[in-house]
Amino acid sequence: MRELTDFTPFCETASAFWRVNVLPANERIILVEAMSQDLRVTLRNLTLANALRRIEPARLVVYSGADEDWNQIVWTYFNLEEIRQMAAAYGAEVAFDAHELVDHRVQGTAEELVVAGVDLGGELPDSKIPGESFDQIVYATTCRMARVARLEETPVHQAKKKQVEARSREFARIYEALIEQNDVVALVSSHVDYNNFGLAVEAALRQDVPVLFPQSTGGLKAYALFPEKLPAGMPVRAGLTDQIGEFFEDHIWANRELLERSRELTMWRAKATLGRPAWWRAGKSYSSVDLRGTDDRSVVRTYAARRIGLDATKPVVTVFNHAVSDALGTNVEAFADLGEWFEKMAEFAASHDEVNWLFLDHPHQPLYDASDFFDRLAADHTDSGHLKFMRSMDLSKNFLTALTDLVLTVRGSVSNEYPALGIPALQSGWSEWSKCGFTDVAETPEDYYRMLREHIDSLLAGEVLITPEQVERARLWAWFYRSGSDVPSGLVQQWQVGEGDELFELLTINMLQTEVDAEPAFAAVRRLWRRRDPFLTRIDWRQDREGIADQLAPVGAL
Amino acid sequence: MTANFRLPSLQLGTSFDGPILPLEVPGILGKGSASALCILDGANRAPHRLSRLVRAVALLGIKLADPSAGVRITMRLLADDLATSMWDRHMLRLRGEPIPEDEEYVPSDVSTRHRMVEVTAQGRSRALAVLALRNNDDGTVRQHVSFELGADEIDESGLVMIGLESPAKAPGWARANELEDPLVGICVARIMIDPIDERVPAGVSTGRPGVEQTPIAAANPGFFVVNPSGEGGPTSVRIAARGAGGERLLGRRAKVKHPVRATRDFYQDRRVETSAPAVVEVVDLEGNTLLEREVPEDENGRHVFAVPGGAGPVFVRARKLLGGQPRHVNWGVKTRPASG
Repeated sequence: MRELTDFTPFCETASAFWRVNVLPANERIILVEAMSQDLRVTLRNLTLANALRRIEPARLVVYSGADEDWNQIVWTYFNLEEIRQMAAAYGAEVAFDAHELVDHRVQGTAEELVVAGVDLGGELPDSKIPGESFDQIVYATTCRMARVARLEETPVHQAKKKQVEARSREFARIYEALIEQNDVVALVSSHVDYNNFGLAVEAALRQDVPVLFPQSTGGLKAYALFPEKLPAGMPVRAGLTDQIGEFFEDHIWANRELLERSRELTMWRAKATLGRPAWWRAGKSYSSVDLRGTDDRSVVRTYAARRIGLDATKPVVTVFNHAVSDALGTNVEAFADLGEWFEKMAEFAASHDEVNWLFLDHPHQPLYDASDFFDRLAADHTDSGHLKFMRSMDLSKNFLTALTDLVLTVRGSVSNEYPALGIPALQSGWSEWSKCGFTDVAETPEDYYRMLREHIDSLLAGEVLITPEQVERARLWAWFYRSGSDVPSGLVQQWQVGEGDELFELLTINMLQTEVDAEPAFAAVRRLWRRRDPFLTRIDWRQDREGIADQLAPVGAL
Repeated sequence: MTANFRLPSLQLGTSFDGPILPLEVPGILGKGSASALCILDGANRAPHRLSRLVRAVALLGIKLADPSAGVRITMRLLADDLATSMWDRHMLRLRGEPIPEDEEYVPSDVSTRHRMVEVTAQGRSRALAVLALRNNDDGTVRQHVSFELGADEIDESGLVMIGLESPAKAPGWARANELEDPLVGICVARIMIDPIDERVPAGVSTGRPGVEQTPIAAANPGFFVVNPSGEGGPTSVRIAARGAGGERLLGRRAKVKHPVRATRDFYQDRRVETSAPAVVEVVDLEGNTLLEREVPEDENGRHVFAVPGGAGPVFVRARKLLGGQPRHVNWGVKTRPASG
């Protein structure tokens, strides 16, 4: 358990700071989620909301809390009082425990609780959420809480689903009531999945309220969902994929010459695991890639293949498992669920011994799977010598890079990391970057199998599956993710500062000693809001080449 | 030999990759910052040594300036207090237990345990080493292993890939009292690379310091390893019981206090029947038992046996037959090429 001694003084400073740095509140509200135990997450949500309050006067309404499931499965030190204290310091008029409220509503013991003029403990009408959307969120939440790839007709799963369904109905009611009965500027939420987060997001988008969702990494990184830009009937993240693809093409790819040095520097740093994203293998020595060329790759390949028992003379197709219960159904996927895709791959691989197959578990699978999904599947294929099932963390990045000739994933970040090294990736569905042109993407099982066969045939024929342009695109995306869409701000600090006293000391110093004009977080939020961009950006990309260069300040001649 | 599959689209380098300064032979790598140490996997670069191992498997890639000639590679491996500390923290992490602050950390007692390392080069096993740190070692125990790499084993890239791992098929008696994840914390202090002007002789690693050029195979861990000569022929192993000693003989202090005197001092306490045979077992890296028999003692108190040529590195357990029972004693070990 962490101990914070600088938190209360920080809250006093923050309170004074925000009092003079946002517009006076009016009747409108900004809804802010604060359901993470990590104060860095809530800090980002509140900072983003207050940056918006500089241009859109509004009151802050914070919903928080954790239920027994989250406390048992995900959280270890959730502290509602700390969150309330921080919310108050950032000017929130209320920070209520939505989980507790939902529990009382389910039990029929809710008492009056007026939030933003709405009695959330009283009678509330049913949400008008489409049944299919509601069912999808209930299903995904139940899978996550049960830590399974899919639900079965077992009493345990069905009981859990019934419980989640009852709670989801009440979540939907209170979120919808808050949004319907208020003039809501925006909803700020760290996640868009599961009932406690996702039902608020769904209600907001359905009622034309923009959603901003900060990322738990970097400085201030955030995506934005503007309802008018989202395609109807698509999963919540799908519209974002399209917009990111367009932005990448119009601004990043178009300025690739200007970004050449930055792109290479980012790649060089990424190989040494400096910076983000590296959350699955953060900061470990076995996370860096030392390989530089075909010769050293070949030598390491020989060694790695011998250790694992693969034939180094044949191509290796590496299948990266997902955290099987993570955010199901929030983007376009070719197969019914993440687990089914992995199972189908094992089935396919069993009869394709012309190549090696390396099946890797997700590094944090125990947090997402209580059903021994990976081990059970591995046990079904112990006879196939050309199939190996391994724990991902039992292989270093050097080994993986030396062995892998084709990456298979649904939406994993490996589909950026490996193409950036000239190793092709086939995605079974969309991801944030899947329309940036450096992976091959299938949207149906038929397409997927066809493309997979073509990829294997091409590998065996020695054909190039990823062009130099695609490698450049992958490196540019890595740059954009780590730099272009990451806003360094003294008001949140870098994620790696942690959430201890050091963070609150730095925030306090920044609030006390730095004049706020042109604060990057404020500038970025203002830009995003005015232009309806899909994410925060470090610089203004709509300037001409000279203007972009002035902002990027690249190494080189003026 | 069939060539490895090569991916034509590979683009692993970046324009920020600094030049690698290959190692001129003869040469010594003694710091982690050495440019010729171009690949490091499962290990950290060490500021004042070469590397510290942090995983169950480690790889060190060394770029040589002239790949056209064979080389003799000698590695100095250490187990020390820092190795114990790293291993402790690794085990705590594995068990999901909190890592204590420095002032609260109490090192585990590893004084009855040992570590084994299999050294490979270019994917082939070359040597074994044993490291057994004891309380009277002043915090460090060193072992050296040497092996040869032929010119035909180094391609034109000049890259020599040295692997370190736990020997997978070590006999049970070598596994007894071995640390779990034995590589974690081990220090590769330096690597010396020389031309093959002299062939590498067979070598012994006992885990413990030697006494006056003689490796001492202590009763604990109760075995030692023999590494083959560069020529690969049979090796004659000569062992002689050290009549007394225990830990007293083996530490740095033993070098100050002459071993003969130490022997004399403790002779009454630890008398060894000098006429008894030794029960010797020799096991190769594949787990095959190459030798398992009683070896008589000669008139000089020595037991002599041979490790067959081509056996590669082997594990040896030798026990003195005392009162009809095989018992661990301290051995002095010497090797030389076997005739025939």
